[in-house]
Amino acid sequence: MTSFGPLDWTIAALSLAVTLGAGVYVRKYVGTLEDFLVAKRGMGLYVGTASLVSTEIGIITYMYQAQFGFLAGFSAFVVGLITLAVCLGLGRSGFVITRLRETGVMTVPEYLERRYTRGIRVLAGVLMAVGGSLNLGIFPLIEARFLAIITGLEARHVAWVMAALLLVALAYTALGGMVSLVVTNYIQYVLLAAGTIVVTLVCLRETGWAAMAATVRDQMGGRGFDPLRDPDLGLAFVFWQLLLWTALMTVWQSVAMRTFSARDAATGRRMFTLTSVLFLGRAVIPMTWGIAALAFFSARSQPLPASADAPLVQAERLDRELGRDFQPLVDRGRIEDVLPRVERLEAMAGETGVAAHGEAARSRRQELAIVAMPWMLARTLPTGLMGLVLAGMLAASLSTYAGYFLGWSAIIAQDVVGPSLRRELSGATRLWITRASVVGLTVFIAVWSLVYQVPGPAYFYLQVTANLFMAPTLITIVGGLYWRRASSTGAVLSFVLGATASLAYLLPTLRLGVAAAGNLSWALAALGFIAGSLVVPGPDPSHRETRA
Amino acid sequence: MSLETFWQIVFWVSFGAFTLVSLLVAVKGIGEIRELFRALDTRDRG
Repeated sequence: MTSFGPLDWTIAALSLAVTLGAGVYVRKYVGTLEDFLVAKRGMGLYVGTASLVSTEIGIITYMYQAQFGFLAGFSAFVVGLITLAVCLGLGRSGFVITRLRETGVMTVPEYLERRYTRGIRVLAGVLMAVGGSLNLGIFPLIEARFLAIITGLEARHVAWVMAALLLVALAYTALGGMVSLVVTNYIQYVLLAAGTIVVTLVCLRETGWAAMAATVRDQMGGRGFDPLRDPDLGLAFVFWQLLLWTALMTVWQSVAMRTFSARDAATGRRMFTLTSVLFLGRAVIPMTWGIAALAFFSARSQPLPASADAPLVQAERLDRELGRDFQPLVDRGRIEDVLPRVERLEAMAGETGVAAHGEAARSRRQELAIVAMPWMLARTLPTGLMGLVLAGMLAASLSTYAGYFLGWSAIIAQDVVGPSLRRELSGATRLWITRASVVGLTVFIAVWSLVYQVPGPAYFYLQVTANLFMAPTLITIVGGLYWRRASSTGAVLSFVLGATASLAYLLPTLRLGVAAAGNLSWALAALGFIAGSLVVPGPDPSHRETRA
Repeated sequence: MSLETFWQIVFWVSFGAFTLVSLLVAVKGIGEIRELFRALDTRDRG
């Protein structure tokens, strides 16, 4: 099915070798913990932008955004507009990012100790480490599927490719920290941008905008264009996304580290303005790939013959057939053979109202949505171009792993292990703990990706695991920076309540919707913070700053 | 303007802006990396 050949392997391997070489070479510049974590705070505007964007774009991003586009059509684009608005707003106003940068901290929870107590720092650190690791934990799981489809490798061989990828990221991150990341992220950004542009042009050539729009119109009707008419999106989803993206762009550790690494607060703000358009593309472009994949396979599928059977009989027969044929056909990339049957099952489930049939159709559509885009690429990209695209995708993933390894290991070392030891650690010991955390994190995600099954669309899982700590972190930081009465009691309540609501989504038995879980998390975190701070107010923050 | 046209404009703006800003980052980034290494080098010698 795929034309991936030796030339493509050579291009991809060469790109990895160059990245690894550059990342390891610059380790000689790392002398202190500050060099390792924030590159001596010397990151310029363009390199900072490349670093920030390449960290937040991996194969996983392309996969879940394409899945979202395949499922929701153009309505998914609303997320791109939200990220654009949030980034622009933060860049213009400097809300949170300027004040946080001026405090001189290296991790987000570090500020929480200065403003509240050491206990809050550790609590936030633990939640961030858990949420961040769970979030990162499904990356290899989903990315391995992309690699298997594009390269045509068997699953067991893909596992080795993923392991090699993790080891490359581990090697240069553990050795060179942020200094390595600055250089490698730049190379990776150039590669991933080239790959993104090539894939977009291929999608447009293979399907064309008119066909994409027609497919969405035929299959989804108005909900494919109006997010407020999509039952999975709606106003609650839009509202939650606004809050979540504000948190992601201010206190998400890998993003915040770029703000902390910027030369000054003004550079940090300009970085956000420049990033805003790239983040719009980060959402809208791969979502378009997903829509293109839907149009590509819909155009190649044959409609099922009409049946005189009752809807219930048809639904049961289709469910049985799909139970037998679905996986083998999907594994061979025969999306066009499966798609009409899933559509018919959806229609029959709608008529009969049998929940089990509706659920069966829904989970199969989600599965098709995640693999359709890579299968379309595997069937359309020629040799050579395939290697270039894979090089771009691998670069994107490598930068994400490296950035997240550094971000979450900094939290584990600086905010969980360090403060818990209750003695002052030397810079060298902290650096050693951070490097050991990078290794530990690599092992964890390798194991987690083997044992965990993602409930629902990957996009939702990733956002809810992030939400585990994002709502309370942003609320306690905004409160700490802008509200004098904010107290540690309020902060504790905020973290506990906010995390509980997000955890509820991850337990499938509770059947809590994603937007409901997200908004509940924000509401409870805010309620806990305000109530706790009003009932037990904190000391005057100016006294605490003096002590720190 | 219909939502269909609106999303089409959003797509072309995002794709165009992504391409242009990526070019800008690629061209201007090299100088900034050199500058960072010069700063780290000076500190090491100092």
